[in-house]
Amino acid sequence: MVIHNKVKSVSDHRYQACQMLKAAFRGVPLGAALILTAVVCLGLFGSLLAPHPPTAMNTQAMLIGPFSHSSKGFHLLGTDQLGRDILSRIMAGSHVSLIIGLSAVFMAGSIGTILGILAGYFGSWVDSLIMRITDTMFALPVLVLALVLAAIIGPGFSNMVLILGLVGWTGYARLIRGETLRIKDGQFVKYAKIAGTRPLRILLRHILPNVMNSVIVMATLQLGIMIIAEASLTFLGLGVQPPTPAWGSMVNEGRMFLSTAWWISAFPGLAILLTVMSVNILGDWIRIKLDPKFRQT
Amino acid sequence: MKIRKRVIIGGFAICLLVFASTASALEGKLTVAPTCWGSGVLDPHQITTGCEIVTTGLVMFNGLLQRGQKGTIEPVLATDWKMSKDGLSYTFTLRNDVKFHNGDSFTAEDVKFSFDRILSDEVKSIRKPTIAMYLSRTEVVNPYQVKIYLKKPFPSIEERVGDYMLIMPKKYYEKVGKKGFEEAPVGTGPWKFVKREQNDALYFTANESYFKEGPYIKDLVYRNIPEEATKWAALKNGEIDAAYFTALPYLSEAKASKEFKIITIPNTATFSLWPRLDKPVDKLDAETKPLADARVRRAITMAIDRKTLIASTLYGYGAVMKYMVCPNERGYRASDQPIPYDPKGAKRLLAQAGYPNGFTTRINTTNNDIAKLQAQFIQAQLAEVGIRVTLEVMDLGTLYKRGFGTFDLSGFSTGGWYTGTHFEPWGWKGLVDPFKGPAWDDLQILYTEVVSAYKIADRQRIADKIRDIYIKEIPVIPLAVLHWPWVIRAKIVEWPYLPAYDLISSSHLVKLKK
Amino acid sequence: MQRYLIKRLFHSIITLFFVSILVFVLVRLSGDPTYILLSQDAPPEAREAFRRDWGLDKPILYQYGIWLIKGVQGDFGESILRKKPALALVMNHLWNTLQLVLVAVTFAVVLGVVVGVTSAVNPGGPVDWIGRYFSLLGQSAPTFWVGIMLMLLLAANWNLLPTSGKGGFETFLMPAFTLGWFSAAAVLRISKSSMLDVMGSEYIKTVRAMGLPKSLVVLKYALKNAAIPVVTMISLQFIALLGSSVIVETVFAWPGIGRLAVEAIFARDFPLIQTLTLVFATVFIIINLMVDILYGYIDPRIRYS
Repeated sequence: MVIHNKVKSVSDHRYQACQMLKAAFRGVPLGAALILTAVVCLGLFGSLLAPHPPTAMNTQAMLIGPFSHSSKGFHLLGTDQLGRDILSRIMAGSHVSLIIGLSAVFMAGSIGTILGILAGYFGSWVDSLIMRITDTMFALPVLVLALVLAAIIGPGFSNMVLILGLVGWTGYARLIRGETLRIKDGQFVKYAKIAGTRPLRILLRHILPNVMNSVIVMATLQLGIMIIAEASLTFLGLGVQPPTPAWGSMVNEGRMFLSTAWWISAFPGLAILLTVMSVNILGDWIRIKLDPKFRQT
Repeated sequence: MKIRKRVIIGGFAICLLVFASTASALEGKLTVAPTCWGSGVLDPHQITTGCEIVTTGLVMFNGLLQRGQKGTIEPVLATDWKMSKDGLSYTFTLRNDVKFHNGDSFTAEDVKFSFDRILSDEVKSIRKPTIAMYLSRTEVVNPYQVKIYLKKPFPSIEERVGDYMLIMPKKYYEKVGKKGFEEAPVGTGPWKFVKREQNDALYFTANESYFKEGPYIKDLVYRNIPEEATKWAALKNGEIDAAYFTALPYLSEAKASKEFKIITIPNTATFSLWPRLDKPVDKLDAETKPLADARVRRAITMAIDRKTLIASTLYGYGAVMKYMVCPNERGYRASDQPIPYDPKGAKRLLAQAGYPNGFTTRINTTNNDIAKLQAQFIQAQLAEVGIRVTLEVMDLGTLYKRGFGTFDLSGFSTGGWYTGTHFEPWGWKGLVDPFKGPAWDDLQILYTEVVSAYKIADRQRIADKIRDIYIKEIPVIPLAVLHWPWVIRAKIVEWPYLPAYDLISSSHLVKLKK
Repeated sequence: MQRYLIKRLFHSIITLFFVSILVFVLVRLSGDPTYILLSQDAPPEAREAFRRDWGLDKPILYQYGIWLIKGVQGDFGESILRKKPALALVMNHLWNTLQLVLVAVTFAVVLGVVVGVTSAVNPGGPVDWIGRYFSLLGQSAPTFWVGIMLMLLLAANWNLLPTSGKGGFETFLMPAFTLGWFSAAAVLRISKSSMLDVMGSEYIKTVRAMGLPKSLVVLKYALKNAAIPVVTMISLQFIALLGSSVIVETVFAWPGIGRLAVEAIFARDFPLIQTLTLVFATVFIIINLMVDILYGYIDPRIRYS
């Protein structure tokens, strides 16, 4: 409300723009937004800002605690079992975790949405086929599928995204199929059909925009899960290739040091925790914004 | 909490002492998290992993012979054995004082039954195919003598009758059948089977009429704990008394604590880098081709600071490996020295070989924590002499499939072996097939010869020759010989082990503090 | 209703058929048990002999046919690794996991529903705030990390609970909490939102206008109406936990289906992986069907088409 008074003194035009922005961001959880902005910035510039090269070993300074010095300089968060600077690795690793999470969600969302729309719009055998495939993928235990896929195509950065994407699309397909069915019966789609609009155009112009809210709601829920899933797969021996610093593998590699050199896994663990929590909190906020059910309250 | 616990244990001890005067002479319980668990199969012929044969097989069963604490082959169920001149048959004389856990006497019939069973369709184990390649039939000479006939000389038969060809009771098995035996196995070994809980705990009790020394403890319990952190927690709160650790960080904690002792078992396993030269040299890809040059392999050996590698990734539980032969293996020579760490010399050698600016190669490694760490260490060190390494991590099944099946790995793969399970110079014909040149031709002949060399003097001669070629050619980059540790509770006063066996095969000789 | 059930049954059989083909092909693409089980220096003849013993040398279609015919008769083959009938093995481990997941889901439901309902009734209160962040925390930390931390603290340092293994009720506490904490947030979110939905409806507004006390309204009228989405979410979480219990099972040495699956995949134990996946898919289909039927009972407006 303090801001409100200040804004009044600016010109009318800018005042209106500000009001619109304010409306868009009303109730945005500030802490979560700040953390996420920081993580994204780190993801973009992390490797430039890092005080040490993230993969540089220093056998003279292995496992030294936070706030200590080595021949290579100051280590704010200590070093790991090969003497690599933890802070630098966390900074460089942020883009790995973020990109894996985001691209996996994007991939899962795209596959699921496309299949869901096709099934819902065309119905009949297309619907049956797509829904049986969806059921099949849904009925497979996620980790069995992920492990078998990893054994076939091998672990690694892009394969990780591929696996998580292939495993995670079924939820979208089911949700979007239902939404499409609902929208298809709506007046505007009926008129468009009568007017002779081609199916592709109807799908892109009328149906896709109307299901986007549901897709985004689902995606915000999934992003956190994907980041955690990457960490979990690392625990089972799959995941990003070393020495690429990914938060999940850092936590995992450090798990054996929990009682002797806690900083190895605690700091990347904290990074995952804060990021995923921020994603979830912001996700909740976006959901309330987008989901009409919540607007009543 | 701790004090209360001690009081309870103290009380327990007093109760046990009172009991001891009336009941059995043995007391105490040992709970162990063994090296491996794998399948949990108890039938010794069906056991799936090699490691389990030692951890569970040799606990309940015996073979005719076994490698003893001094590293030589010693008689167990046999008292004496003789090989025929042509190496195609062996006659074993058996002990006549041995009884199975159910009271049946052990005779030659049991040996014949067991060996026949291994070859039968009922058994589908991993070792059956190898044994079936050599073993032809078994004949009962008299109740305490058997003769086995081989299809071709089998130099390692003396070891195999001590691990994969353990003796099962004929009468009992014919009574209970395959399923019944798996539920209540009976053997001649130092421990009797009591019960199994899920697949995660096995209970044994002492065979007090064991025909050899031991056991000194009444009960033995095996717990299957897959996660290292859990093992450490279970050790700390007293649930288990001994554990084989691969999680090195906890060792430094255990070392600092008065509650535990660390027993290192020398030369348990090896770790090395294998150039994937699976194709003729001119067909190798750019990442593998440089590795076909012996100078490059030597340069790589010189570029890796193996002492620091052992200090940092193995916490010092190991030694620099000289060549592909370990101290307890045939052909090893104590006077040989490992190639020293010399990055400048490595650069010079690389330049001589035509790679003054280095080259790009790949290390394929398993997803095991230590292997991954070591691969990263090596990657960083090779970068300093200009060799750029890409790491590729995969699960063991994939690595082996690509390494031994489809042959589509490039660069190096990490590898190693348990020294306890073979004592001959290691390698195979396929390893040298792609190479040309006199040294490699010799090696090829030697590998073929050693497979059928059943006379010890011949094996020694071949082993020495193979070693000399290893020294010159460095077919594999030797890294470290591991001295792997067990963490045991201080109340355990003796923890005997077989040389190079990191597995628990001498549990019957373990003694607890009175 | 009957026609609907028959149709669903038909769909389920098709799904199971697809699952069986997919798994059969995928596991065979992932390798071969001989490379992992036989030693590295095993001669090629030995590998061939081992494949012959297990019938892996036949063409894949033939293998699938045999497996399908035997499977329909209830014989799913023997595990290559454990040398036991695969179905019995899977059932035994599934039961262990089911028990664990039941306790975990109960915990998640108690936490999620209580906090969700309370915070919908009193938004912004301390229960809302603490409950929300507590459950979010559980959803944001990798489960293996939470599990190991719990174990090092409660079992190793304070000696309060057994570290691992399946035994009495005390052995359920840590693994069930670790699992349940992860799904509490989802249950909470859905129960809060559907409760808010119901509380804002005309029906509840009318009841409240009649002057009934708030607690009575919540307990007697609102809860029942908010149940459907919550039941769906619970069933989804149940399935999700069944499929992802492997990490908790590994950390706490729990003899469950997840660990069996990982073991089977790493050893390329084909019969075991196939049976396991098929059993899992069946359980999944049954739970889904039950939820759908339950729907019909809770809300008669839902038509089965």
